[in-house]
Amino acid sequence: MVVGEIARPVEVLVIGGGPGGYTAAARAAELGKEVVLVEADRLGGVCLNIGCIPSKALITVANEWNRLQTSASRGIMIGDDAGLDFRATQAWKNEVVDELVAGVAGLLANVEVVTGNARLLDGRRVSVETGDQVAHFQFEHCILATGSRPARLPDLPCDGVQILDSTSALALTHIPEDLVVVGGGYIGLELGTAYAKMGSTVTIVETLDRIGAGFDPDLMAPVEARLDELGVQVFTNALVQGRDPDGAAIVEGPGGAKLVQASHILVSVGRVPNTDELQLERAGITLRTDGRIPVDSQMRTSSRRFFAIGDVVEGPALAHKASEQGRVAAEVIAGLPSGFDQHVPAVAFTDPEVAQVGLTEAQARDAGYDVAVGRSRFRANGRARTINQTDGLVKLVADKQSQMILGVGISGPDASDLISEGVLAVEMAARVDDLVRTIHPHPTLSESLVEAAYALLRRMN
Amino acid sequence: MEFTLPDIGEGLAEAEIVRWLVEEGAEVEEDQPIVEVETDKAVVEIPAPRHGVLERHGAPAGTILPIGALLAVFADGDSSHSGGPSDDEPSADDQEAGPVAQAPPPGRILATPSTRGLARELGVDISTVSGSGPGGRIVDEDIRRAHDPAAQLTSSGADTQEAHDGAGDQDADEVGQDAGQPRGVAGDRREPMRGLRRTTAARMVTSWREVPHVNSVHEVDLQPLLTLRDELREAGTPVPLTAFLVKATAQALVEWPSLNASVDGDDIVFHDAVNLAVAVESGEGLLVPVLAAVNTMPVARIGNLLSETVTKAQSRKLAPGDLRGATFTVNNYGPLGGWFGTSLVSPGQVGILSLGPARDRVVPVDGQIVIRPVAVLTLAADHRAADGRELIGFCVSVRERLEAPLRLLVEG
Repeated sequence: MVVGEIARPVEVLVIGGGPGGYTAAARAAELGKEVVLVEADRLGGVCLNIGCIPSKALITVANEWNRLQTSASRGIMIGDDAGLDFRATQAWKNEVVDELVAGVAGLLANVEVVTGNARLLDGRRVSVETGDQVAHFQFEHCILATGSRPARLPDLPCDGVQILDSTSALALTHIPEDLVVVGGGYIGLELGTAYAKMGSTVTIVETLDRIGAGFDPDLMAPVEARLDELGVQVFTNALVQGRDPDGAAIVEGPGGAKLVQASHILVSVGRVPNTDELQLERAGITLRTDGRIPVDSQMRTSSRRFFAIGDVVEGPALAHKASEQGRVAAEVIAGLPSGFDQHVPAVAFTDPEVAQVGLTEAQARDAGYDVAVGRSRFRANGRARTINQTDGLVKLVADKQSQMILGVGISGPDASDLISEGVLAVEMAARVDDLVRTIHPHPTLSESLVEAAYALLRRMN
Repeated sequence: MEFTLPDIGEGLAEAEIVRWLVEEGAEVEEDQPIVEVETDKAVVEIPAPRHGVLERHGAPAGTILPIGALLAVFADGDSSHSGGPSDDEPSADDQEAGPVAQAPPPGRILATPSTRGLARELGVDISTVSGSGPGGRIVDEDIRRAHDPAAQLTSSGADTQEAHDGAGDQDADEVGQDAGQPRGVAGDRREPMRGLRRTTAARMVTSWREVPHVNSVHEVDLQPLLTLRDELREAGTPVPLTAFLVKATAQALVEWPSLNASVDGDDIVFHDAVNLAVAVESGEGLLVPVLAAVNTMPVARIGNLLSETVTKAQSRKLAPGDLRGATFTVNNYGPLGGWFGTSLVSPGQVGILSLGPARDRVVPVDGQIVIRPVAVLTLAADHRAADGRELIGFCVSVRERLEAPLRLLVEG
């Protein structure tokens, strides 16, 4: 740092331009604050560029391609020359990403966006390096929104060619021949399922005793069945030790070691917060052992000018959680009585899709509630039959005493969209009666929520 | 409800319970002092976090408690925690690292997001509110009732219309109780004074009633000081104007000890330490955090301490310890505007010095007409403790230092 370097004063400095950061910046600007947003790479962060958006685009194509395989039964005849041009798929995906990134730039019309790497100088100032230029900012408030990156396995270092992380897995130009997925969480399951549908031979290896461990086992059962149908082999209580000289994955499980042919290995074993290079200790901010920044419900850190949101703080590393926290931080800075206390839904774009909000049955029992459960299978849903997707169920968890809906889980077609009604119900402290008395149009998938509510009522009376 | 020992001062990790001010089983009001604890800086009173019955002392007098340890147990059916930084599963890392994320409590706050927002807006701890809605749900009315029990029927607004419609008899009672108060006119908004506002109001009344005020007004040529301040800023070592004012005041108090004192009954207590309270607008009212022993502190250090303290005040992160022990008050209200103003002496002190904004004035200097930035310095003081000679002498002392600020930079 040059002695006498003048720091440019700024009201709100946001570090990170992902869903958390750009939402916080846009909201702060909307509330009249002068905002500078620093982003090291592209606006939109992981979500838009190498996460949510590109993965959902590929998953959509995989699903469409997969649906076509059975379309003859519905009277749609496709010729022998029908094929999947994956390069074209990737080009389309990239277009989608670029459009959305441009959209974010538009959202930030009243925010000054600086490209560069930010580092804390002290509790008041940040330095931003852009190439060989350095700029200093002195802020009134700073929002840390630097997100997270894929966790690494030392035995399987990612080279982007054969050993992949989620970023490189999304950028492949060809469908992998034999894909071994290390980690049975939602990222591994989503990408594994998609590539299986597009022609790969897929194996999933999970260290816990089941895949999708964050979700209620009842919701994962249809997913497991479908993976089996797709020819995906799943190993649980197992891990990948490394590769043998031919590149096969060495899978170590309860039954011993096994070699699994692998042209590509995807390492998707979790994510680590990007807090290690910010020099947060210069502001007196101490990280937790997991690398996250402790905050209160107003997203404030222990250093009074700093806020932290999204993947760098406690809770699921999900874009919608980051966005809401970003909104809260901006509002708190603007003096509004905002706070983060809502339920965060979780969604996996597997097959069928899985979505969950509130407490699972097990969590509700552990919390000491007098639990009642109501289920309704999509097999019984008219709309599900007409779209030929009848796998899965809606599972409602309620408290018998108060009749309050404690949790909603959906495994089935469009679960990712249907869950939002469940989120509203849980957030509004709705009772089973409220759900039952809300008229859902026919024929729709959403009717299964009402059916599950009726099942609950019968259990409770 | 468990009340843990809150963080009561910078860097202080523990405090000794000096004495309990309230017996076990006693009912206390919110903000009522319940216990005296001593840190190595001062003895401070910890106020009750809420109204209720203090069921149990967390530890007897003489115990040294670490921050975050159980201080008292309040009787109520709620199992939520309150007090210092804590969460449901405290770990050593989390407590040292400061405030921890709060997930929706497992005890379910049965309220819609908009109702939770109302609670935040009104400063109501929603976990202590019982719900009157179906199934125990907390509705807006419950929040308003918790906020001010008397306001049920007098606040205007659509959501209390239901209360009005069916409450003919209660209306009459309300009027009876409030005889002598102006009747609410449609559109009026009633807000009970709570927290800082209430405390300030009480202190202002005491000051007005007990302190015979006298004022002394002086003009100060701020040119040398503003020039010095700008130079320091350019050099990258900014020192706020208020820091110079604090230093000048502190040095002047050393020279005029009758202003660094307290009137206690028939005695005047001359304080050895010079602890200056600095007025800060917190957005919710005036706070006066205290900078201790500033007569022996260099200006630059005062500047840093000021910045830290002001921001803490503005984000309401001041601890009780930060607000006690002042021997004199300084108020740089210049940024707010005006010409000159006078303040009320803070009970327990004998003087308060205010500095107004610097405004360009035409003044004669060495027989020439020049334009200088002139600000007005006003001292309000307790006439029991000091006469004109001391008031004016003190002000002149401050003024001289402000007009020759380089001296302040080298004074220790």
